[in-house]
Amino acid sequence: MIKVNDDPMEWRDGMTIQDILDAKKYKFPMLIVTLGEEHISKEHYSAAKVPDGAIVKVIHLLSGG
Amino acid sequence: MGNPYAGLTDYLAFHRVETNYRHRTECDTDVAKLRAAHRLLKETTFTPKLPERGYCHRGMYINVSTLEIKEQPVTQTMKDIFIGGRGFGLWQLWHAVTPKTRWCDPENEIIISPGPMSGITQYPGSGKSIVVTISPQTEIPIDSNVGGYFGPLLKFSGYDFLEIQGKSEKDILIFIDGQNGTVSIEECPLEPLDSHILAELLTEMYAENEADKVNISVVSAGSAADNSLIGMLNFSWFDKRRGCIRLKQAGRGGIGTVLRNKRIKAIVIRGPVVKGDSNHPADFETIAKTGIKLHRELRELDPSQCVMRRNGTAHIVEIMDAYDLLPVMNFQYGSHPETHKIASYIWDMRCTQRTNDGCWYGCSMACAKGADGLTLRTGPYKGHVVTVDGPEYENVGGLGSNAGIFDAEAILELNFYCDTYGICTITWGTICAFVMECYQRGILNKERTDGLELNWGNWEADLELMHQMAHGEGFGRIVGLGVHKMKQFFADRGWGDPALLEDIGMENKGLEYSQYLSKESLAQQGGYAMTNKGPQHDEAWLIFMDMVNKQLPTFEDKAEALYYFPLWRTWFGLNGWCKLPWNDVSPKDNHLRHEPHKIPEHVENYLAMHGAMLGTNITVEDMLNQSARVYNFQRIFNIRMGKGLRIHDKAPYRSMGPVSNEEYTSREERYDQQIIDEMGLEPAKMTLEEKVAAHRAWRTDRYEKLTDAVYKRRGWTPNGVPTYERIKELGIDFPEVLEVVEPLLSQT
Amino acid sequence: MKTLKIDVDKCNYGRDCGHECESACASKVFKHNDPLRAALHIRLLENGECRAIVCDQCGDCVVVCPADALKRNKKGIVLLDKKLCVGCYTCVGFCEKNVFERNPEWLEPYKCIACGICLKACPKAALEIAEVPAPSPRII
Repeated sequence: MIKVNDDPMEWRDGMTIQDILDAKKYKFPMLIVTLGEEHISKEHYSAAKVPDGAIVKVIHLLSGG
Repeated sequence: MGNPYAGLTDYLAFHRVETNYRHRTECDTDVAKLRAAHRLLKETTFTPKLPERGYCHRGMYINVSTLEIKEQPVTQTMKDIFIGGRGFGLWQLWHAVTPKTRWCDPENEIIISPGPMSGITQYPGSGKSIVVTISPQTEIPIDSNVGGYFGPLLKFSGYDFLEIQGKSEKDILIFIDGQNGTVSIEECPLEPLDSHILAELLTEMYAENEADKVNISVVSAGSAADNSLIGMLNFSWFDKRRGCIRLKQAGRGGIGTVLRNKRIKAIVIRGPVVKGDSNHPADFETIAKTGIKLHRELRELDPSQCVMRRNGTAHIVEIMDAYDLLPVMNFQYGSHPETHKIASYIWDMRCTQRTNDGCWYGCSMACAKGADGLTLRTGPYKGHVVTVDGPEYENVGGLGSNAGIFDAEAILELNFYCDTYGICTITWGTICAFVMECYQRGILNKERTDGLELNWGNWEADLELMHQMAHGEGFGRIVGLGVHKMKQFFADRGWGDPALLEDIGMENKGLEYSQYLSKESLAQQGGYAMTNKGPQHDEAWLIFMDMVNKQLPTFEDKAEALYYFPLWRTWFGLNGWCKLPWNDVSPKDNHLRHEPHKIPEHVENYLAMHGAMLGTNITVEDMLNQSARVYNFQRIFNIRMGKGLRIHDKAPYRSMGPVSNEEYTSREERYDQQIIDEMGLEPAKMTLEEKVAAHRAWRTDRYEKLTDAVYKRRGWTPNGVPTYERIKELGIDFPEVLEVVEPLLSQT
Repeated sequence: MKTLKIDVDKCNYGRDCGHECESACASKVFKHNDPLRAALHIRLLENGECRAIVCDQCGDCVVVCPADALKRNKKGIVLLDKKLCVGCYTCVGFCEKNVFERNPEWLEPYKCIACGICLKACPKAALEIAEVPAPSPRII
């Protein structure tokens, strides 16, 4: 089990940040993603592996008119 | 998964062809004939001057009853306490009206005020004016911000604001010539009302030649303003490349209705030729460097962030859908399977690219997109080929999904007619969504709507209703009253359960909600209903912070956000800034900064430019205090006009939770979980009705607790009245201000 | 269309000349003694990399100018009409090659207009006004 923005989420082996964003439908382009203490930049979403028990934060900035 | 866009191939193939953006139906009206019919009622002269460090130190007052035209002073107190923009507007209006003044009384005013930052050409988003009046919808002050060239051209003609009072007996226009130093009031019997024609004609009429057209800006309403309470103002600018005028809107609160009630067809300004230093800042170099920095940021980052330059604010349509926040069918649902038909890639195709679409010089965010080559299918301009301004996100959500309309061309046509008739697209969207839900629930039927079948998605009926309203006919006259008055109108006739009408009528203080679903974000429910002018997202947009990021877990956290953001955003309206360049692009290293959601580097930009313009130094705290003065003054102004208390900050239940069983079922898993986690009950043992009722009790209670926390943080009593301490601390303890709150504060 | 081209081999990135092109541009075009004020620059960067910084008349600035003050002339050269310029510097910020420049004394920005004054000044005959195909306007 991992936590994404304080909500529990089922963990599976090989899971990446991109998998989390897809599962949560986090489509917003201006995100700040942290895996534990580490900032993950956009180009590494697909490569960044998420370990079991990880605390993931996906902070959405503001937008809109 | 198949291609979700497969059915749209033909549409895309058609519009992928580069549109000729100069192709549109020519207006064949004889301008000379119109002008010959003008009768000069009054003309006076003034000495044009450019601002120094952001201020001209005078305003222009025009009374259209008495034809008096005079200068108004801009005092040091005004500059210190009210800054400009919305602050100046509210201050002038306060002195013009009494607690008994109604929107249609001659003493009601329309004040148009750009701020001290107005007209900076180097930094995106500096062309805004703020318009203030007593609203026909809310009966309290409304402030509406608008782009277009009028504000900066007024500033560069030598005025910090334009204040209009009185009521004319005949149709008139006001012409301010900032090149020659004349102001005239002219009877203008023949001009048509609809803005896309009127602004075009007046630009032609008052420009000395083709090159002069960019120096003209027209403020006008449209035929709907004569026949409804929701008329809005259009502010024009001349688009040199397209060779036509473009329009931006001061939409909210019915200001166009006030303009037409004064029998003013238009206010035309002819400003001086704009140069990069026309506003004479104290430190041009800082402004230039800060501006270029943001231009670079937009060039590098916008394509991978919000793509504002291509899609404008409509880039978030599919995003809102993905987060269950897009208003669908009067805010019942937050997403829809057909959203892809109105998603941003459509607008990318449909809006003309390869041009510059800023609504003031130097706005490289350029979100004022233009969709060219639309052939109208209905109404008085049927068959005409037109350019449509927008659609912005609010228009797609309001005119589209909220009415169950997922047809891009229909949305464009609705958008066009809203603009030219002078109808706020947000207001219309929420009104139409309300009447369509009433139709769905049998509160309305064909008999009651004079034959209109207002089913979800029926864009032809939607347009017909709009044409009716614009021309004061049929059921259109009723919808032109707005949701608040319609609820009463229906209830008086025994149409529907009054409690249900209260639940689903998405208005607060008499103003319609803007187009975001706030049900799952308590902070945003407050962000909508605990506002000064009524529910809009101009004060706070907290849904991501609250609902998605979970950054605001406690009532106090939410209250802090509802303290900071409304003040921060008010500051834009005091100074003449647009808020979009603040948060619709963010610097590459923003994530490394403390409180990245505030976009700290951009806050620093604004501080730097404020200092560079005025030659002063202010901190973030000073900034918030500047806003707090005006914000609290406006709250007290509301109280003075009979609103502004806790009871007026109540929200319709549709904005807070599931009204109907269907709404509950659409999010059953989420709602059931909340019953377990938040209420300690067992949904498995409850009927659907019990679950809906449990949610209502829990959600309503939370909203009251939030209200307590917010009022406390803002320095207000539990009834929502700013305390003596807060009023004194802010330095707005003028005798006439204290007089308003005194009876209320002595009660507690 | 016409554009200023620099033959970097001949030029040798200004390693063994006095940057006469820049001086000529600054003094004759901009009436200024400081070669930094020229509209072209030959730069030897700290990392050893060399660069000729000069406008290639790509036309991006024509697209982004809000005042329609930038236009191609008959030869395809992008010219700024100072009377129309509102000094917003969108062209400066949106120039990918950073060749649209400004200086603190002038309100209007400037760039190379392929006038050819630098050609005569170059001791190595490394510069030419070349004819190249005009690119179509980009979406920026």
